[in-house]
Amino acid sequence: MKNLHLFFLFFILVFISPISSLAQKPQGDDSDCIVCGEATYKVTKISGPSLVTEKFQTYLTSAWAYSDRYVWSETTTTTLQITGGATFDITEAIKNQLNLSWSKSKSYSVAIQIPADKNKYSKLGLFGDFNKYYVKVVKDKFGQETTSHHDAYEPTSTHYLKVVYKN
Amino acid sequence: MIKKSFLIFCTLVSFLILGCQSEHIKGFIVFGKWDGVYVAKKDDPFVLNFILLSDSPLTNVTSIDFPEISHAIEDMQYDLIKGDKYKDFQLFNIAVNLRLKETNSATLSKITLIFDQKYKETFPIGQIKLAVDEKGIFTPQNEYVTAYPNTQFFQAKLKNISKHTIQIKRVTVENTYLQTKDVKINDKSEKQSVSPNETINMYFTLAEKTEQNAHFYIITPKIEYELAGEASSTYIDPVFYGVTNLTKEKLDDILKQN
Repeated sequence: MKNLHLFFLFFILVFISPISSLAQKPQGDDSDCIVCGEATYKVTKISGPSLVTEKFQTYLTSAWAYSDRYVWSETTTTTLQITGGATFDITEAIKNQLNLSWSKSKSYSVAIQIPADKNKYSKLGLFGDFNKYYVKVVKDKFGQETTSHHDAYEPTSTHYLKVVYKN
Repeated sequence: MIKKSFLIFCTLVSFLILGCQSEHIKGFIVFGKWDGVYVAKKDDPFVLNFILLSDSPLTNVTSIDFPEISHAIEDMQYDLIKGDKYKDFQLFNIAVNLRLKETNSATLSKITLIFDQKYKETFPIGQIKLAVDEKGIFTPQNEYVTAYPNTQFFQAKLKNISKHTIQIKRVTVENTYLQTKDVKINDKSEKQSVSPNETINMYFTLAEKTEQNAHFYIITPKIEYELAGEASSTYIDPVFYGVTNLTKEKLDDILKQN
């Protein structure tokens, strides 16, 4: 019976531990993978950076309204934007391999109010300047390569508050 | 003689106590300086922001006033908005909505804070010229940047809502420290003819006139034009610069100016 226990412990140490440590390996690290299904990504910058100004990020108010002013009280943050149906893995690969910023916030803030035309339907919108890169991503899974191209917009700390009118 | 000395002593002590009390109530307060020209449409309020740093929570501010234009104020509302902490100071914005009486223009250079409904203290805020324009020939289309972080440029899509074709001659700003540069309308020179309902793209950069500058700016671009040989002018909607970009350098500069 004691021998059976020892054999069981030995089995756990020899077989189960290596499998669980393999499962905890960081994503994309396939250097010593045996049967893991992770893909690897190779990102190549084709062009950029070029500055894109006043690019839309998000609306800061939800509904269209006839308002003569807006008060904005939160810190505004712009984030990395990737076009071309990029998955989370591709976004992560572009960000990490090109060393791009994920987000940029303003430094100090206090709520401010800005005027709007009360005769028109409007919303308050956050816009920002972005560094634009055109990139090629090669995904390798089990030796099968898939290539995709994307525009990556890296945020900067230049933000604009715009009153957006519904015409 | 003793009675006289006692009276002088009492007066001195009273002055000292009152002086200290007023100082204690006020604490340290400094406002960011504006260079503003704000031309509003008729019946629209002036929407103003006065950014300040204080070493006290300002809980005893009971009202505010603009001593230079008190007589011309028809209606005024304000909010004292608390912001982030910076060093040992608290950032605030006194957000004001102001309507003037019949007066068509006024200039603000001071704001008065009233503490505990008793003590007043007046602070410089730079200069903001307020005016009302009844014409409003151009209106923004789609979207309009109302708050730029820095005084780099101005860009807008504007529609001629008048019934006339007008000849644009010049686009200027009337600020103390800023002037327009490289004005372009539809990527060409500013001297353009604009038909009724036509939309134009206006772009210009802003250059400093002097070495002096302000922390925050309000510009109201002025379009000088000719209609049937007659010279006239109109304004487009005001734009804020710098007030959404409170950097460490800017806050240090505000503190230094006290």
